Amino acid sequence: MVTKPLPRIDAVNAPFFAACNEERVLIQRCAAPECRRYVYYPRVCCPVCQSGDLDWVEVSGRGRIKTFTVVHRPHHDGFLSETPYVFAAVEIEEGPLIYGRIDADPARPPAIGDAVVPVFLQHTPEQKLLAFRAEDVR
Amino acid sequence: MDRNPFDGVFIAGAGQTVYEKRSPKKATRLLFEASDAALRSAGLGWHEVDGLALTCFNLPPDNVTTIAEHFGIEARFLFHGVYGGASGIIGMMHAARAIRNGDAEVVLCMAADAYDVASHNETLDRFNGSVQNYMSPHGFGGANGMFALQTRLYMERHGAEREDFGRFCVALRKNAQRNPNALLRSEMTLDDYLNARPIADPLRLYDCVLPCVGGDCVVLVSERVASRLKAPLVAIRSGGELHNYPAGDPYSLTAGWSGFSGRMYERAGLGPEDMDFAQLYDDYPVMCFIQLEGLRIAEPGRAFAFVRDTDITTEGAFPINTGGGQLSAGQAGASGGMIGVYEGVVQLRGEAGERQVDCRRGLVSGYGMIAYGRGLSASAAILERVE
Ligand SMILES: [Zn+2]
Repeated sequence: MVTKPLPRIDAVNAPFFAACNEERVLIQRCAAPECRRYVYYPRVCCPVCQSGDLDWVEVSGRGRIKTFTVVHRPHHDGFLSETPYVFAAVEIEEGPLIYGRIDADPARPPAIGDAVVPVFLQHTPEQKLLAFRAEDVR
Repeated sequence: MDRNPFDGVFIAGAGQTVYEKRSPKKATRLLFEASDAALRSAGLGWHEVDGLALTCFNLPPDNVTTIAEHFGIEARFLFHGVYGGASGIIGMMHAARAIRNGDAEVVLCMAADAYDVASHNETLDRFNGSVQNYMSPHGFGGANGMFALQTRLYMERHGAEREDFGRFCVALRKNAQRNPNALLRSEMTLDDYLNARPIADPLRLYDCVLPCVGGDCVVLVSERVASRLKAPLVAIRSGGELHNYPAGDPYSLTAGWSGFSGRMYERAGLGPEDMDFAQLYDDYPVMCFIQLEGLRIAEPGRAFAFVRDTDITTEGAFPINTGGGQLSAGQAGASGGMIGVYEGVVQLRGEAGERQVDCRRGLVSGYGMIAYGRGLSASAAILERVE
């Protein structure tokens, strides 16, 4: 079996991926008082004001679908058995864009603007990854 | 008055390898063959080369410096592109500045790759940190998936339809049929496009470039060298580059061109209406629409309507990607950033054979370094035949 690509966990992003395993959405927030913007993906500085002080904060992970695709031909053979599936850019309530899978029937895909909530997919035995599903199902 | 920083520098030759689906040739050999052809078209010898500007994705652990050694060049100027498909034009502009400053006199601006679908996907999987850690593990679908996201948003926001992208791709295929170096030259109808197999909805097979094997090169020379050459010369009237624009917004449906094209035209004393063709970076048709808008050929959000109303084949009012572009000639990795420059120079030299268009000047454009949701780098230049 082909193994799926894994994120490379390092000193900058370890808190995010550790929180995924606890099914929590932990992202960064700029500590500069005049900025306080939320930051995702994990970075060494705020990309808006370049402050090097970032706090880790838990957020709901709720958001809306900015745009999406139904992947039929994956870029990596590790995903072949799961096709077709929905992959999307989600704008979370706090502002940042997070990419992830949408747990949805690919024959009845979501629409741009749909509300989603976080779910966590067991990517490998060691790592869960953040994904999303429509807010009003189940 | 804002001067053209490329005055007194000329493109004296252009070379291209045949584009092939598979080949035992290594990227290094493709770089050599494209360069050799460019030098011959200029009437120059290898011993006169004193600078290299190079882009190649599957070159590591080699780089432009070790290629200079491999080719046996004592180089006064070296540039290695790290801007993906925007690198070809950026490298050419760096080389032109170096020549103008007197740092070099004959610079080969080259790109090549020996790609297939598997090696293309492998490269992209680890293209940079944000792709590797925050997109690839989710099964983002590679470049196809990333531009499917852009395409869906463009359709939703501007009202473009699949047929609009289709018309664009069909016209490029017609152009490719007159280009002996192009990979995809069989007839393609709009129905073929619309009914091709799905890749990453709304993208289907013919929205996606075919990774292949090939290389392109143009040779830049100083005024002193140009004065003794018999080959037709092409000038760089203006150009620009802009990265991570607009910062922090992968879904503005614009890119760097919108930020620099005004100044680019102003420096040339020309406008979009003075352009006789455009050689766009066509990794996906949606990016061509965004380029046409950023380069002011079409109104913002209206490039799809421009393509509906304009014949963009070599027989049309405004020819685009006269050799078939990457969508029909193939995407030889980093050479995608140079294929349009090659084609533009060949057209301006009047050497395009069956696909020759009536032209004096035109646009060439580059785009690349796919990262968190978009390509980060945009470049473009205005090329003009020297009378
Ligand atoms: Zn900040």
